[in-house]
Amino acid sequence: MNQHFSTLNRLAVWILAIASTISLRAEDQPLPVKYKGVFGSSLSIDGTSTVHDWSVSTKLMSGTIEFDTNFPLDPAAEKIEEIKVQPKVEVSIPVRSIKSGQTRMDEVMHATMKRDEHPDATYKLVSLKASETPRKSGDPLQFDSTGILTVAGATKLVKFPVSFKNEADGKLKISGRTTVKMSDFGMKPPAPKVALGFIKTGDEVDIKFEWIAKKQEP
Amino acid sequence: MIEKLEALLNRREFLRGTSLASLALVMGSGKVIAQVDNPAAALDVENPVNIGIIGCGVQGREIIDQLVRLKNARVVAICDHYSAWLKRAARTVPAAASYAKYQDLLKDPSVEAVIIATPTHLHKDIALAAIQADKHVYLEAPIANTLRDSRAICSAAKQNPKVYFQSGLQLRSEPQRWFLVDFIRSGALGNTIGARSQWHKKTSMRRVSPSGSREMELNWAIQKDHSAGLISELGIHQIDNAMWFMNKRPTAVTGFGGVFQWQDGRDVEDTFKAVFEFADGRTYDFSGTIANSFDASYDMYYGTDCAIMFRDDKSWMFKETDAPLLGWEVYARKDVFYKETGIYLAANATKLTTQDKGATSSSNEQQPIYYALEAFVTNSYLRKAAIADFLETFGEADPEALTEYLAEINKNQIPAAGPEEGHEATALVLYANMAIQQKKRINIDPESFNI
Repeated sequence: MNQHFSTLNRLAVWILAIASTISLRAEDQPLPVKYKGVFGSSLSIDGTSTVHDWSVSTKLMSGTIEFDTNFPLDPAAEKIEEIKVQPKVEVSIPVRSIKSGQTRMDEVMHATMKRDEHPDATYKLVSLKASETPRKSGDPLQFDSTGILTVAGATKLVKFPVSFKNEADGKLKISGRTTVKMSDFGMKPPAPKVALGFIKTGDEVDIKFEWIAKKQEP
Repeated sequence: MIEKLEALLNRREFLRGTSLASLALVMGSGKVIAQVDNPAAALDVENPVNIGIIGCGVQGREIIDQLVRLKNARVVAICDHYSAWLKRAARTVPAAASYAKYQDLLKDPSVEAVIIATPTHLHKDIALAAIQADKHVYLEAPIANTLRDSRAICSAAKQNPKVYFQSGLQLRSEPQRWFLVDFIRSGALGNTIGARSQWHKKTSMRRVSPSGSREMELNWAIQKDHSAGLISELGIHQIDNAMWFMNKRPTAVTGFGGVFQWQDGRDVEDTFKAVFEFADGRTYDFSGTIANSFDASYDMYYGTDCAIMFRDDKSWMFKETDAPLLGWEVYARKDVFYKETGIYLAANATKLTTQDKGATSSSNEQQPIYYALEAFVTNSYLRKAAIADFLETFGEADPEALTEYLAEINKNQIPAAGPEEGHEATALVLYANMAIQQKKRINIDPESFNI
């Protein structure tokens, strides 16, 4: 009888211990820090052609970020800590909002990007890694990103460095730059025929962006 | 292959010599035909706008006839309280919903933009209701028959950033005029000494109807209590164009006129002249008559180096013998007018095309109304798309940000007269009409131009 009690007691103690640990962990579990894209962002795409260089841009970048509370966001740090939990980042741009400043060029660009079947270009982060570039306290935080870019219905893995800078009002400015080829996304560089001849667009384009996201109160 | 490359290089060299502005003009206006290496691929998207027409009279039906030629215009609704005209308009756009009352058309959720082509004195209530309903608005010129009504409409338009408002000053969208406004402002005339316009056509303008009340309605333009005068109805386009080109506002206007031909009991002058004065002493005068047709309508700009004449969409430069040589005039086509030789001015002119063009061929392929409506459809779509995309991206929470975003987007609009231009031109013709009626000189208060 005593033996039986003792086993039961031990079992009960173990169960209680485990239960309390679990409940403790639930209370301690930090909530992710959420950010949402706000007005103030800009993205530009620069390209070339047989006639002249061109540039198109948009100010509409919607999206969300979810950081783990331990994610290194403090620019005062001398060294960026290892990222233990990858943030979730999704960005979307309405293709129709990308403008060149000329009606005809917009029509050509939107047709090339298959706007009607694929109204949005999207990006989803796969991973972030602290950049190897030397830093000192106060510098913007540099990371190397890997993500999935979807344009005109085609998907491609893209890698480029990004920079995080804290702005006023709980805003975060994420800047980056990368070069892609239109043909990588199944887009034929447009070669429209216009009044004085034809223009052939270069395949490679340079994408630069500054995305402003604001911290959301829980 | 080598010929293709050579052709490319030659074109590039040619384009390097051309100013960026004219390249932009070419790029912006050039018809995109097809992908060079894939002719079947359409490098085009459809940017449709659903339009309702309010007022299916002569102008309204002309507008409908032009809209059906524009690929992005969808006439989804028409309105006129006179059922015979409503039915006539419906023949061109049978799929459009028919409304007898404009209020019902404005309630139609499929209507995104409206074109108002009713008599001038009926513009105000309709335009204000349309702006209130967040519909894009094209309002025929003049805006209204009083300064107060014009200001009310134009300020309501300005204050609603969701509404794209275009005044019916068609010439402000015409490619040939845009090409020449910089040419004239850059001093091609030398020292500008003045300008003159006329609108002459022998026509009574009287409409008849078996119904007395309908006849009263039809003849609004020649009734003093409704009309802003024939200078407003016939002269506004040329008067606005002159002020636009000369980049000046007059400080006074003197009027003359009377009913000399059509003595049918009307009280609106059938022959009139308005002389606009500028602060520097120069004048612009407008002569209008429906009693004589000679020389139809034209505009003349006089300067110490040359005079420039506009007839319809064509223009000529008559150089003074002591004016400096410009160089390109050697290649230009010349037309003789009695003793004067005019150098034909045309946008996109190259050596070959000016020599090829016959005397009667037009530089523009379309009527001014077509370009104005194309601008309206394009700019309405631009506005509606910007609003929809912004709200989809950020939601409703930040109306100030939306206004800021739209101000940026509006820089992509193709040229057209907005509320400021519409009000300014309306103010000018209303002052001129007042001067004509009173047969005297009237000072123009510069505040009148402000909305």
